[in-house]
Parts: sequence; C-alpha cells; structure tokens
Amino acid sequence: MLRVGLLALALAIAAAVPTASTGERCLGGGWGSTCSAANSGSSIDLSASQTKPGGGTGHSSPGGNGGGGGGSQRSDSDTGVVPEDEEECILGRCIHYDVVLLRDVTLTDVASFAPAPLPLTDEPDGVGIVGMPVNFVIDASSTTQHGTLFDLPVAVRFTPASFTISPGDGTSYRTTTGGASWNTLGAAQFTATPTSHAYPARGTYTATATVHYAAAVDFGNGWIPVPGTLDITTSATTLRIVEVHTALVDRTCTEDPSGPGC
Amino acid sequence: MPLRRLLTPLLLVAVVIMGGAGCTPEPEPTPTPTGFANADEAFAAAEQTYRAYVDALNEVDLADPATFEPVYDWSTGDFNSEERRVFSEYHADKLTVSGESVVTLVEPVRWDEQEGLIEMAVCVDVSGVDLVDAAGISVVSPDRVDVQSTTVTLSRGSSPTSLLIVDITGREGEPPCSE
Repeated sequence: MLRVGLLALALAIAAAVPTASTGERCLGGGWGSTCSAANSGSSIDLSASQTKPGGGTGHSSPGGNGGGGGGSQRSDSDTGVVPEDEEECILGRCIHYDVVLLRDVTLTDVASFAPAPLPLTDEPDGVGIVGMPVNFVIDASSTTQHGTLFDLPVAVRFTPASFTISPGDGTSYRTTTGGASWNTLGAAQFTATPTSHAYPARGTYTATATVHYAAAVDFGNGWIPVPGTLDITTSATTLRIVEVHTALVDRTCTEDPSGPGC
Repeated sequence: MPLRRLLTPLLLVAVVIMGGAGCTPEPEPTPTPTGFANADEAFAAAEQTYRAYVDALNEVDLADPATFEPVYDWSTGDFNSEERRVFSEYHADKLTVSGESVVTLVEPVRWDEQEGLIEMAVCVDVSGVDLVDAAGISVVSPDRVDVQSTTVTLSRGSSPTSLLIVDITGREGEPPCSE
C-alpha cells in the first residue's frame, strides 16, 4: 500500500486583490459597462503545509485528508478552472497532483438554471374596488436544478428572497412573502394582506411582480451562496378596478324598478 | 488513472498516481495552424471577422432571439457560451437595445501560427448604444466609457472568413481608444 504524506491544506479566500494582467471578458457587445482591462475579481490565497510520511491512504477522500497544496492565484479565465500541477515523490513513487481552482460563481453562470416566470394571481379574480385591497399572490417556492457548470456536476438552488409588486398604477412595493389567498389565510374578502394593494382610482391596470431569487450552488460539498439576486418577472395580470356606490333604499329593485341604482 | 476529488466547493484536486519510479509529463496540445500564408492575410481575415461580428451585434433585436444567431455565428468556445447566456438574460429581462457600435480602430497585435491564434487591438465606440429595461430606464452603467478598448482573439473556425472569435477582453495601453 502506497503511503503518502498528509497534506494539510489551508484555503483562504482573500479580499479583493487585482492580480492578472489580462482584462475581463467583454460580453454582449460591451453595451452595458466598460470592458475592464483590470482583473477586479478577488484572489484565492492557497497556503499549504505538509507533514510526511503521514497516515493517508494515497487517495484523498471527500472532506478528509490527502489533497494537494501549493500557492496559486485564481485566474479570470472564464473556462472556470485553472490547472496547477504539483508533484510529490515519496519512496520512489511520485504522486502527481493536478490542482484545479474554480472561479467564483456568478449569477451569470447560473442564469441558465433560472426558474421559469411564475403567474401573478389576484383576488378577487380580475376585478377590484377602488380603495379596497386587492390581494396579490405569487406562489413561489425554493427550487433546485441539477446540471453541469464548469464541466462539473452541480446543483443550483433558487430561493425567493423578496418580491416587488407593481400594481400598474405607478406604485410598487417590496415584500418578503409571495402572499397567500384570503381563503388560505382564513381572512374575509377585501382584507388587507402583506401583498395586497388598494387602487386609488377606477380603471384597467396591468399588474406584474418580480421575484428576487437568492441563488446557491453545490458542487457536492455544501451550498455556496451566489452574490446578488436573480430577478424574474411574473406574467402580467389585468385588473378592472370599479367604484362601488351604496344607497339606502326602502324597497328592492324588483319591487321598485325606478328606485335609485336600479 | 486520474482520480478527481472535490475537496471544497472552490478547490478541485485531482490525484494521478504515476506508475513505477518516474513521472511522465502531460502531453502537449496539438498545435492548430491558422492556415494563412502570411500575417497580412491573417489580420485582414481577422478584421473582417470582427467587423462582421459588430455588424451582427448592430442588427440585434433583444425581443427576437433569432437575431442573436448571426452574432453567435462569429464566435466559439466559452466566449460563445457566455455570449449566449448574456443575450438570453437580456431577452428574459425584456431589455431593449438601440443605437450602433462603431469600430474606430483595428490594429494587429499578434499572429501565432503555432498556437493558431490571432490577436488584434480594437476600439469600438458604443456611445450611441443604449440598453433600457421594460420601463424605459437605461441599465447602462454610468461608468461605461464611450469607446471600449478591447483585445480580440481569433482562431481558425468554420465561418465565411475561416476565423472565429475565441475571446474579447478589456485592454489598456497602446493603442489608446480615446484622447
């Protein structure tokens, strides 16, 4: 049985340190922002110490001992991985370590895993009354998709972190819940909810909402949050907001067809 | 036989145990020649490729993903994949692009016949380009420069010019793109 040294590996992600001389990739025609010549990403500082001979088995196990060492800085190469060769020779046997660093995962990387746009539902369905709450509901839940990122199997999880509801009257408001129907809440119709909105004037409105998803990736060794939120707009819903006038009458419309409001 | 392990989400360690007492070196990648007779010919084709790419960019309608395809036709590899992702996002975000990118400078930098790569320094004026969201609000960074200074790398590929863009990266230094 081949015995190898135990390589204790300390991995530290240092604060942002410009390192590479090559510029950042310039995508989408450079329409949105300056194609930076500087590597503005953070660097990964790998420091390693080794003790040999050790009790390792020669093959590293997940999360266990073994593994490689050596300093290396991340690259901005969008291939995502940077190979770094290391070699360790013990008792005439050589172990070749191929250390590969993954660059930080960004929202752009996981965008292709994004959940589909959700519908925005409203209560009462399609209509509302001026000055009374219309209850909006976005049935968003955490989703996990599996696929390949940087040529590695990955699970990408999207969790709805907050919601922005735009009722279509020029206002918008942010909530931390997608809301629930009055029935689910056990509330009477036209009860105000965290996601409800009262329109100030009658008319036809097109309401939309945006779900702000927090993303996380798992390459098989735990979830890592991806900075930022991925915003996905729901489908639009059209509402007709009407005014309701009441009047006290002493007979029904059947009894007095010419009465007020009949 | 390589055995790859993922030690941390950021670190992938592959351990290859070499047989016997020695270690064999990694095989070198096979060189890909550019296939051009001389540098002038190579750079002319490279410039033609880049200008065709910009022309395709100028025809993009973000509401119509079919217009993205001519853009993708001029690139390959990771750059192509990233472009697809970016334009898909633009489309999903219901962004609208207006104005045109104008190539103001194309200068040869390097023709590496062994690696099969051509590099050019490029300046492209994007000052007339605006990117707005569904509400009509510009999503262009206020820090965006008027003229982008980039390095364009191309290699042999299947296109009318026999070249494809493998990367476009930000650049500083000579030649400058603005006064």
